[in-house]
Amino acid sequence: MTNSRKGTAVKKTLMSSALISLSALAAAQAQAATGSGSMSAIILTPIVVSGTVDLHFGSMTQTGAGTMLIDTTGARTPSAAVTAVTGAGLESQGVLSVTAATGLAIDLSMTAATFTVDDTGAGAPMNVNAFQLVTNAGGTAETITLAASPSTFPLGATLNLAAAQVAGTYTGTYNVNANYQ
Amino acid sequence: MRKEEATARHKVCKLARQAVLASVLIPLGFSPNPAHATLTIVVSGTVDLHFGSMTESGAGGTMAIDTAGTRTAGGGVTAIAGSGLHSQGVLSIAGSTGVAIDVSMTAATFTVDDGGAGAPMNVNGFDINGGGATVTVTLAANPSTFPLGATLNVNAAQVAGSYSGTYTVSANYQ
Repeated sequence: MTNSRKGTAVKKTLMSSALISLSALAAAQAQAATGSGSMSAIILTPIVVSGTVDLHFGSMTQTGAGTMLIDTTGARTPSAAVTAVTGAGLESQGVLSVTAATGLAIDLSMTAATFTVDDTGAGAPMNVNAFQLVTNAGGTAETITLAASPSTFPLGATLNLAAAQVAGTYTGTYNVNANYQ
Repeated sequence: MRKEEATARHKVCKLARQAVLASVLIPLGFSPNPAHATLTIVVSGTVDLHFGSMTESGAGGTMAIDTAGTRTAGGGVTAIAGSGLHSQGVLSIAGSTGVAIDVSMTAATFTVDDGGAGAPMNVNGFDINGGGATVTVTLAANPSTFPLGATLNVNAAQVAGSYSGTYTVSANYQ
């Protein structure tokens, strides 16, 4: 009698623990959840800058050392000892073409304050400095934002003539850096 | 005297039997209830895991964003801050408070794509709440939010464009 009662009790306990396990399992399975979220990344177009129109100081004569400024609108201003000669009609502000992502701030800067032009002959090199990026008030570093790609931006500068500069055709190159901010 | 003793013993036995019965009934009747009382878990990404804008030199590289939203570029990748779009992801988990919940990414790697010419990029190294790809959290409030970081793998010569994709997270009571 006693043994059989104990047996029943054990069975009941086993049964109840089995029930608990089943219901716990069912509860856990019902409450498994998955969800998702979004990921994004933007790879920007690499910036490409190039000078598409020559920064051309045009033709001039001199009586001594002096300067020739060409601003971002293409207007020339010679100093006292230098005279602008308009006949050749070659003078022009420089034009930079920038290809990049639109709507983002881009830092433009001259890689040096001074570049030179040379006639590859007897003439001494002449310094070109006081660069004006984008506007006459712009210096050697400016921030731009492209409305379209490519966009163009003007460039002005000042040519420095030595006294008795040898007559000739002088050329050179300048370099500009462009980086997304 | 004997009759009283017998009555008293009978009462003790009856109480003992009731106690045994009660102890059997308690696990049957009440133990499963705490499990049923937990709220169904709902997990979702409420803020984009956004790696922001970047340039790539051609050599490929990585862009990691940690759970604080700080970006770290590697290899030929350069972070561009101008657009200001980058952000760690935010997971919102709704469920019962004070109960341990296992949260894990359903895969180690997910991808983002530009739906065009660009090759898909892998996103891996997921970090949920600073604990890696599998963590245990306890909700202080319902719902609670947890930050998510990861690493974007930019291929060599990755085509410029806007890339997007989804990740999946699972959450279960322990």
